[in-house]
Amino acid sequence: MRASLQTMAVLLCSTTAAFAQQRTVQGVVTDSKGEPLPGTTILVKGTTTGTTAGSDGSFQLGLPAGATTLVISSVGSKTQEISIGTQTNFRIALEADAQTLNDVVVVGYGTARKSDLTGSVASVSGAQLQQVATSDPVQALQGRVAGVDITSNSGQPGSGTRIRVRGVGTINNSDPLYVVDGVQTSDISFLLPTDIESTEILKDASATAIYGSRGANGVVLITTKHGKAGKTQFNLFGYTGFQQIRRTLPLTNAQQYATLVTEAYTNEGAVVPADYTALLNNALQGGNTGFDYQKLVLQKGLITNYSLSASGGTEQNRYLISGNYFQQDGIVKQSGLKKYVVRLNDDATLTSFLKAGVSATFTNSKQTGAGDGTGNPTYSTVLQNAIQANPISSPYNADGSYSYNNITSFTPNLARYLTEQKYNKTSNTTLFTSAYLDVTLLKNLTFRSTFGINYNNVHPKVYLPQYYLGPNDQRSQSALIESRIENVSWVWSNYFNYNKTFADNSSLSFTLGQEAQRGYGSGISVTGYDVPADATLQYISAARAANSSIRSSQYDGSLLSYFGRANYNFRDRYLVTGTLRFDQTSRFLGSQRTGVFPSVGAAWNVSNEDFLKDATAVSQLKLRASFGSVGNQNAAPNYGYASTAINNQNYVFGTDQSRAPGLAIATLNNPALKWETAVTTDFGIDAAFLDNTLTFTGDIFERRTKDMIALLPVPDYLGQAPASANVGTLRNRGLELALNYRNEIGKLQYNAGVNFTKINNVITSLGGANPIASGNTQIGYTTRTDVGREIAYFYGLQADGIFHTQAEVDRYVNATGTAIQPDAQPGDVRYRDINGDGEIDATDNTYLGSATPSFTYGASLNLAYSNFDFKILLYGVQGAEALNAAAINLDKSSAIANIWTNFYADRMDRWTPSNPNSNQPRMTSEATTNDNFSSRYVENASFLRARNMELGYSLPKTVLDKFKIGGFRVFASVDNIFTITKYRGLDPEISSSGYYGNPLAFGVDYGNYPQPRTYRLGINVQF
Amino acid sequence: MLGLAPSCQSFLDKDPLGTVTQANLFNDATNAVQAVNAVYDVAGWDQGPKFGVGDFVTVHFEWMFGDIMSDDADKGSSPSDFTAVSELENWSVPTTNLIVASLWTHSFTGIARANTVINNIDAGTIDDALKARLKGEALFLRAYFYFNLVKTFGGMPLFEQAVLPTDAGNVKRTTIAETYAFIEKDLKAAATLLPEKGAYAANDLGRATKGAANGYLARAIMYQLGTDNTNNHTWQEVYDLTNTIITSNQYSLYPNYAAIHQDIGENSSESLFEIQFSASNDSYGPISTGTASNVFQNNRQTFGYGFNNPTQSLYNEFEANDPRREVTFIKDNDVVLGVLNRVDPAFSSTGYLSRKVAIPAPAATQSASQNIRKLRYADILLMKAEAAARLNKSGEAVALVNQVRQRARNSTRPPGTTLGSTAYAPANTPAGTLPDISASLAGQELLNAIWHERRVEFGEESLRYWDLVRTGRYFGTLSPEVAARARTHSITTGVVNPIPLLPIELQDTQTWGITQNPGY
Repeated sequence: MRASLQTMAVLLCSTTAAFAQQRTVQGVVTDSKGEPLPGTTILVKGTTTGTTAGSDGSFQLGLPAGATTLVISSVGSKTQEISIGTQTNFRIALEADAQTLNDVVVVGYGTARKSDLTGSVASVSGAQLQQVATSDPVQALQGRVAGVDITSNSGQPGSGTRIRVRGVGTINNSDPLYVVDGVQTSDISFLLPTDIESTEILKDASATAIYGSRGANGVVLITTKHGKAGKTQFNLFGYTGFQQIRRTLPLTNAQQYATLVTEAYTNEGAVVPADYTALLNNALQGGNTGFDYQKLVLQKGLITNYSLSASGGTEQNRYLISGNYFQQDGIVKQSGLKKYVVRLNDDATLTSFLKAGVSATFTNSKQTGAGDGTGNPTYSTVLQNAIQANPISSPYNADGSYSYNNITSFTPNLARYLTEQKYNKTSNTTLFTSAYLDVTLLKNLTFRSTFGINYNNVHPKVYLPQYYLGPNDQRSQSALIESRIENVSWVWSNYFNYNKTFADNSSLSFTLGQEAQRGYGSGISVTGYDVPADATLQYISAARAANSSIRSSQYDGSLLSYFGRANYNFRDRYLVTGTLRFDQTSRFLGSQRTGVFPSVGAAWNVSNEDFLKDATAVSQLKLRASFGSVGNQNAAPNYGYASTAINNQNYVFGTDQSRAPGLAIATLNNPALKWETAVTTDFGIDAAFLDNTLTFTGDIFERRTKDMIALLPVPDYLGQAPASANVGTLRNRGLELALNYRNEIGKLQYNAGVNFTKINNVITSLGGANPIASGNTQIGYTTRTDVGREIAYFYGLQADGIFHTQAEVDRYVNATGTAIQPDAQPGDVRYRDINGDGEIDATDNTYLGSATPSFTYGASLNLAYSNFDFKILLYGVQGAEALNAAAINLDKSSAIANIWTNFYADRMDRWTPSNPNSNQPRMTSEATTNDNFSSRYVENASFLRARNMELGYSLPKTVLDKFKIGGFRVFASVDNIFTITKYRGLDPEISSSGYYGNPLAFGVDYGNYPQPRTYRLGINVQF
Repeated sequence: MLGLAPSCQSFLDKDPLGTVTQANLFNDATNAVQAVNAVYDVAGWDQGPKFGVGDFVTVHFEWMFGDIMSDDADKGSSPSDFTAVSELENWSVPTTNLIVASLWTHSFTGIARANTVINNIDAGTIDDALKARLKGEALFLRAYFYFNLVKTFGGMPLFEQAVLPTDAGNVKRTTIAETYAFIEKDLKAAATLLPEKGAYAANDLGRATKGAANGYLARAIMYQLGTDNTNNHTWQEVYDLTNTIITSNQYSLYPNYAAIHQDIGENSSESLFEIQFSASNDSYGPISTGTASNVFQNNRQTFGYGFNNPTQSLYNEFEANDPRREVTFIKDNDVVLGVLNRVDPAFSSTGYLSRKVAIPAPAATQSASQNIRKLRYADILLMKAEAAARLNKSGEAVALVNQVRQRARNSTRPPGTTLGSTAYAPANTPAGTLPDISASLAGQELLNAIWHERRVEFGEESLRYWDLVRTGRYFGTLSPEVAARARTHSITTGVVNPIPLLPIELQDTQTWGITQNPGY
């Protein structure tokens, strides 16, 4: 990147220098191993005359009068100065440079040397992103960067990922801003990891405040792959493999199940419901071996990714064209994703002072098995139902047809339900394009205008076939729900960059700009009825019922901004950055509309001080500090200030009983809604030791979110859905550490990195409002968000084992000798009387842990030996709890036994008079307190996961040369080969987005689609 | 880039698209009417999203309370099917019971929507006459929702205005008497504002009327007379109100009892208030115009789940040859609407099903068109009879009861009692069937006769439970075990008869400080 900047400067000024040329030199630039270094900048020292090496590393340069020294620089290499003398042909080998601090990184509206940054910025290379088998570029970042927590929404193909930069910053939208090649967007799922050259994550206010109202949750800057000058390079990348579930749950078989259910009734002297007796007895006597529903729905899924790109061009015109295909079958049958990405970009030098470029990415993805037909996600309940289904009822009759069972019929026949998922499809098409124009106005002053527009079309379609299995499991009329949703967003940025370097290595730079953004969209959704099942007739036009229902949705929002930044670098030692941004949004009314977001940062490059210049042990040492405020406009709804009516609240009147449409103000409004802001303080250190073999970055930070916009749950007696309001404050304090060591032992090169993040999340105020209860399960609210604790902690009774004997029940009395659990029997769950009032009720609910981890960590190890390479990437979460909500049924002991769902196999160890030492509650058919929400369902969800392991082999250069190819590598890779956890559910990695996107259901596992284990073989060829 | 500056304001001023706002809702007659329609809509919700947007709320039907909790009906279906209903029936209702939560949530949704109309319509620019009518409808509906709440849960928080979120949590329950006073105030205001039934256009039939407001007021007073009469009501008020309705000449008994619950009986001369439905393909939620009530109660052998089975006790209550018995009951092997009905004992604990809800299978089973009759003229007559009896006007009371009996004995059989037919066959009513009650009846005997008449006239119409409670007979109809549980949830001090109350949903008591009812 630095090279290209210098190249630019060179090219811009080369015409003026041309008059003074006297002679020409030529040469080749290679790395220390003799591999050519294309793109290297060769500059005549003290002038702006220079050139760039071609794809084979060769260059030619006309020397001006008085030229004595060449300066040769290339990214990743140490800059070298060579005396020209009389030599005309040079062979220059550059040494690899571990000084990553001198790399140029992308920052908001420009680039900067990493050593000049005062903010906290982390980088991930494209090669690292490519390591894991996923279609999602965000997921590929998992475990790579300290302070960046990435969780898959689920293992369902295409279900997306949640990324949290420095913790959960707000109780609503905590998604970061993405900036792809300078264009802001809220989603990057249109890219594939292979499209990405590099990723920078801006974490503190000094780095993010330039993005003002969109920066509060961090900013992820994506630089996609662009063409480089030189002869056309082809790159073929591909892999194929399969995925499978990590584990299935150990559940009771038919006989065990029947034993438990029968015992529940026997214990209470109750009679098993008549319509169930025969089935249970048959199973008890071993006549029914049971049905394995997990086996029914799971499969080995194929995963494939192929990518082919061509790039090259001249200095005047560089291009890249790529095509990409990704296909993934889910580990649950009838779920999958196909994704096609075609990219094209071109960068041109138009005149000595004008540069321009365009890029376009076309993406089409097709997802199966997730969606409700109107554009909202649905969470596949197939796996959840498979786990819960009782093992004594087969979904098939003896003749192979789908069975119907009165007892279980309120959950649909799973075998039939599964086949229906294939009719659930969502096609998503995105065209993301941008164009820029760079104008060099003065020697140090440039102007850039970038216009980016993102067009997105979502086309969900769900067909619900007619069927009849029995009164409770039927659909009397088929239906087709089909929608077209169109979203357009554009960003037009205009800014000046001024950059002045002084003789003493001091420098001053300014950025001043203006930006307009608008996003608008509309959707229309039609439901037709009585649509034939024939595949060619599954269209609205084939609907035979006269009535259909139509809905539409639309929005329009805009943002107008002005921003500026100034950097001053004093002798490469003292750095100061100040940024200021004004944002005006259409989401708030006049007086609340403008947000002001300032930040200031300072850094001290200690290693450039004289007293450290000669310290060989310390190669780099920089101290950073920053303070600033950033906004989160995504927390606000589009029209939160207005009280809008929803239609379709229908009734009928009159003798003709015709539909009388109704309009209701179903949601409260808040005209005073204003910006939610995050005030961030950061202290950081960047250091490198032992000739840059050991690098270290550490940050401590605090982020206070104030005026937090919240959709506070309201009581049901309010009768309307809640309004967004500025209530509450939240604080994240954290520590991030990243350590990397690289060296070599003989032919073995190794690189080991670890990162560590600890974030302390506390709600500091809810504006006097009540604690927020959320995370509904069938046993009520399970999470609470309250002052003094982290967001959405689990809140319920503290179970204290079970009563093993009557004596234990009798002894459980309060100070006055009254029984605390008077109705308890031996084998019942014992609850702690937290408030000491001598009885167990909701006032004894207490903190039971939370899904917010104590810390998270990632570790990677890369080994290279001769032509072999090996990588491993680990990711861990420690000190997190999860609510195993899917297991509430599997662990049940009493009243909800009526639901007739399966049990965990270890329920066989339940308390019985002959098994009094068990810690599993007794079976009962009565309503007891045993199944109240308590710590029994809150489980340790810490885990350590081997995210990826990969072994690769590259053909040696001698062989490559023989076949005239640039590179050839094959690899074998395994994702999620092991996960160390005590969690009893399918997967401890539970999305922070929770169920139906509710952030306050954080860590509530409703039966998540787990992360698959993936085995792949792949190839990468350059020619 | 400077070019944008002059148009900044317009670039940033965005109005909500495609939606009406509260600000202009009442400046347009169609929108204003639709705002009121949306209140009625809630009254018709069986199930669906909370507030019309949000989480799904399960079903609640008035028969789950009015019939199943009484001696008139058993839960029905298979024993394990929808045990939340069994919990009501057995008075073992946890605070997480979804049926009571649904009733609670939907009622308050209706109240909030009514408040939108009541508090904003006066500022609107629409015609004053329409304004008055719409406000009257909203007041009636607010009272309707509060009446359902107070009967089930006791004294309620009272909202004249939309509740501000900042007030949430500071809301307190009022007493039962205060809640009734609020309901009466609304109904009286509604009665003044609303037109008589006959003044509505044909395509507005089904909207609240002056008669409906007066009828519900009479009902609310009568319920207080037998439960919490802190408001010191008298039977004279019931007498006067019912008399006002009768003398309005808007209503008459529909000639054929057997047709009241058929299509032809919808919004008939007998109808004071019905929840209106028409079949639609939308199976639930605000968008649906149909009801799931029929599929829940219909025979499994046709298209239903078979809930709400009438009991032998109700069967036995009918006098010999009373045509109303056959109109109320389906027995095994009966032909109903021309179709042979077998009653599977595995799905009917009593061996009976309710015939009043039997309809042919609609296109979408969850969305049937049968209106639910909430207040019939026969009820007005029998309310007046009860008032007259209490006021020692026994002769007048007897005459009113006999009007009802006379209509009953002239009823046909229910429609479609022969295979393939939907015709009304004549009933077997030999001379002496349902004779007039004796003019000499008085005192408790007369009351018993009126109560008997109510039970058979309104069988499976969700009135029995409330009648039992207000007449002090409820606990006597329960098994000792269930009665004991019901008593632990009853208000007994300062009331005429104990008032058993269901639990208020967990969330509003646990999180929002609403006082829970006794024993939960």
